[in-house]
Amino acid sequence: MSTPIKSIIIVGGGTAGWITAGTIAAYFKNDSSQSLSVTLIESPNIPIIGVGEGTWPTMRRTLKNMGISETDFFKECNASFKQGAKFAKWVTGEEDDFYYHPLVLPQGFLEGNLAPYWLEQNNNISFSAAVCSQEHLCEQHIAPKQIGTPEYAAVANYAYHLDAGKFSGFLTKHCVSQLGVKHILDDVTDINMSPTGDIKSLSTTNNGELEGDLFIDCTGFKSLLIGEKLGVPFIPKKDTLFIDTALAVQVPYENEDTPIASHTISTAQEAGWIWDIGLSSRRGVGHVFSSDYLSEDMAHKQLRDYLRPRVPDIDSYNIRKIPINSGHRAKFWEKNCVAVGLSAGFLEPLEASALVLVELSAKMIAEQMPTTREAMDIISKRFNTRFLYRWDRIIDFLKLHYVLSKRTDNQFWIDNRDPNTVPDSLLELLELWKYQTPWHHEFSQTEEVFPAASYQYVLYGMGFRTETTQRADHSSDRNFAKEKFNEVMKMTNSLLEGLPTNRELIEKIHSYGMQKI
Amino acid sequence: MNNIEPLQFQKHQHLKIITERGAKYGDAVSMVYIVPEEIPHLTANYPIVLTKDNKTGQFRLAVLLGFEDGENLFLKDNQWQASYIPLNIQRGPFYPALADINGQQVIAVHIDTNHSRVNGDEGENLFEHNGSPSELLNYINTVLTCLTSGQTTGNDFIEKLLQHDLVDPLQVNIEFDNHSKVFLEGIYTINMEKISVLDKEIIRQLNEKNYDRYISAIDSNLSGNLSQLISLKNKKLAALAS
Ligand SMILES: Cc1cc2nc3c(=O)[nH]c(=O)nc-3n(C[C@H](O)[C@H](O)[C@H](O)COP(=O)(O)OP(=O)(O)OC[C@H]3O[C@@H](n4cnc5c(N)ncnc54)[C@H](O)[C@@H]3O)c2cc1C
Repeated sequence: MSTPIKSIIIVGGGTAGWITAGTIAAYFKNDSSQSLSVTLIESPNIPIIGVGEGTWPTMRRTLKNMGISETDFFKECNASFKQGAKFAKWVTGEEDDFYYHPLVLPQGFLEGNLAPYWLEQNNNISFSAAVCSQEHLCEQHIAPKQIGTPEYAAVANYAYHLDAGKFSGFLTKHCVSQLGVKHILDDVTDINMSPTGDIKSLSTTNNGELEGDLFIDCTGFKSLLIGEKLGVPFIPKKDTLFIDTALAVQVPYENEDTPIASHTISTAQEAGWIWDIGLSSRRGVGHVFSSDYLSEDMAHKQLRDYLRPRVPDIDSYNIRKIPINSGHRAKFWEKNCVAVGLSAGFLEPLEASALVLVELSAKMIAEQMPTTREAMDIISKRFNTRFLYRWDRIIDFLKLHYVLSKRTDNQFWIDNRDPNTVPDSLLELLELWKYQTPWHHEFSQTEEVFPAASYQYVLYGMGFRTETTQRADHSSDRNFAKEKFNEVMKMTNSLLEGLPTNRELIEKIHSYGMQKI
Repeated sequence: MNNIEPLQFQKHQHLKIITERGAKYGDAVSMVYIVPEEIPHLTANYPIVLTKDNKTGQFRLAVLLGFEDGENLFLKDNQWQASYIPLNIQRGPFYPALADINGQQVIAVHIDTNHSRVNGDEGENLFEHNGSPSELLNYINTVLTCLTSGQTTGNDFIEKLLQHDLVDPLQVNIEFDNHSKVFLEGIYTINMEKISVLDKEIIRQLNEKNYDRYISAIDSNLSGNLSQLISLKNKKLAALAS
C-alpha cells in the first residue's frame, strides 16, 4: 500500500521558510485532488538572520503567485526597485572603473547576438550601455515603470531591494491569514526517526510531537534536520570563493529627497567588496571579505571609510559581524527531508543568488510534490541533480567576477586568479569564450539562474576580449546589429523622458498604490 | 503656468470669462474625465471608457474625443458639435476645492487666473456690481458641485468594478479610410461576461447604487459611439486631403 503525502512541516521562519510555505500553500490552495496541510514551526528564541535584501526578478512571480499585492509589499517591506548591479573598482580599482550587470537582456537577444558586433566596434560605449537602456536608467536613479503600470508588470525588467526583517513578518501575516499555513512558535528539541531512516516527527517544547510526511529544513546555518540529524555532508567552497566574513550595517539617507539608487552597488575592496542596497527607508551596507587576507580591524575601517562621506557619524554605528561558510550540502533532498535556504548552503551574496535559489526550490517542490512516499525518492533524485547543477553554475558565475579582475593591491586578488582555484567548468568556458561569445548553447537548462546574457555583461563589462572572427558574417546580421543598437538609443531617450525617478515612484506607490491591471 | 487662487469678489470683480468654445481656450483635448452622473447625457455621442490618471495611476472614467494628442473631433472652430459638453470642459478655468466654513465642508470656487479664458475685457462677468454672483458664476458653482460629488461616486463605482475584477484593457486597432492606423492604448472597459456570472449578492449591491445602469450604459454605447468617432475622424481626414 502506498503512503500519501498529506502533511508538510517546515522548520524555520526566516525568508526561506515563509517563501517555501507560501509557495506550496498557494500552489495547492485551489487543488482539490491533493489536499495538503502546511505547518511552519519557528523558534521564538533563535532570531532569523535578517540580512539578504537584494533579489532577482523571479521574486515578482514568486510574490504574485502567492497572491500578494505588490503595493502592500512595497509599503510594508520598505521595498525599492532593483534594476541590476553596478560593479565598481572590480577591474583596476581606479575611480572610473565600473560596469553594469543589468536585468534586461541585450536588445533582440532572443533573435540574435550583439556581442560580436559590439566587440568589433570597439568604441567608447560600454557593452551594457550599447545593448540595453538599463545602465542609463540606473545612472540617473530612474524607476523601471510608471505609477500607471500594473502591479508586477515592468517597462524595464526589475527585482527588489527589501527590508529582510520586515519581509518575513509580512510573509507570515499573508501566509497565515490568506493561505491557511499553520504557524507554531516553538523550539524543535528533537528529531525522531522511523526505522526506514525517514524523519517521523519533531519533538517540541510546548506542542508535543509533530508528525509529518515531508519535512522542509529552513533552519538557516544551523541546518538542524538535513545536516545535524541526517548527516548529509557539507561541501566547502572556500578554495574557490575566499570570502568568509560579513560586516553589516544600516544607515539613513542624508535627507528626505536623496536619490534612491535603483541598483545594487558592489564596490571592490582590498580583500573583498562592499554591498550597498538602497531601500525606501534606509540603506543596507556591508563589507564581505576574506579574513585570510585582511584583518577584521582593517575591514571595519574600510567599511567606515566607504560610508563616511555620506554618513559622517558612522563611527557611532553598530556594525554586525556574520561569519560566512561558503559551500553547500552534498544533497538537498534526503529521504523525506529537503533543505531550502541557508541550511542548503550559502555563497557570498555577490549576485544575490540565495533567495532566487529559495524561490526555485520552493517552486519545484510545489510543482513536483510527490503524491506518495514511494514517488518521493525519484523526485528527490531529480531535485538534487537540478540543484547541484544550479549551485555549480552560480559558483562559476561568482568566480568569473574575480578571475577577470586585474587588481594586484592584495594577494587576495592574485590568488583568486590562480587556475587551481577556478572550477574546471569555468576554465573551459573561458577558453571557449576566447574564440566565441557566450550564447544560449552553453546554458541549455530551463530556468538557468544566470543566462548567457549575464555572462556577456560580466565578461565584456570587465574588458574580456573575444576574437571576433565569427564564422558566418552575414550582412543581414550586421544590419540586425545596427538596427538593434539604434533601437537602444531611441528607447533610452524615450524611457529617460517618460519614467519617474525611483524615489518619485516609490512615494507615489505609498500614496496611491498600483493597479492590478 | 497655472495660478490658482480662491475666487474672491474684492480680488476678482473685474475679471471676465470667455465662454465660447475654441482650441485656444483649452478645448482641444482628446480625452476628458467625467463623473458617473453625466453618463446618461454622454451616451448619445461619446465613447465612455476607463483610463488611468497619469499622476496617480488611479482609474478614472473618461470620454474619448479624438485619437491623438490634442485632437478633439467634436470641436469645429468655435462650435462644439454635440448637445452635451462634459462638465470638466464646461468648468474651464475653475476648480473646486473643499473649504471648511464654520465646521461645514463647502465647495470653494478657485480660479486659474492665467487661463486663456480669463481676462479683463472680453466675456462674461463673474460678479454683479453689488458683489452677488453672476449667472455664470452660479452655473459654475453647480458644475463644480456636480464634479465634486461625482468624483466620490466615480471613485466608489470604480473601486467596486476593480474589487470584482470587472475591468479589462480594451485593445482596439483602428484603420482609417486613408489607411493610417492607431492602436488605442491605456483604455479599459467593463468585462460584461464577468458581470453576467457575478454572484447574486454582488449584483444586488451594484444595483442598489444604480451601478448596473452605468455599466450597461457604458457597455451598450461603446462600440456605436466609437464608430461615430471614427467616422468623424474619417471626415476630417477626407477634408484635409481634398
Ligand atoms: C551577509 C549576507 C548577505 C546576504 N545578502 C543576500 C542578498 O543580497 N540576496 C539574497 O538573496 N540573499 C542574501 N543572503 C542570504 C539570505 O539572507 C538568506 O538566504 C535568507 O535570509 C534565508 O535565510 P533562512 O530563512 O534560510 O535562515 P534564517 O533567517 O537564519 O532562519 C532560520 C530559522 O530557523 C529557525 N530555527 C532554527 N533552529 C530552530 C529550532 N531548533 N527550532 C525551531 N526553529 C528553529 C529560526 O528561528 C529561524 O526562524 C545574505 C546572507 C548573508 C549572510
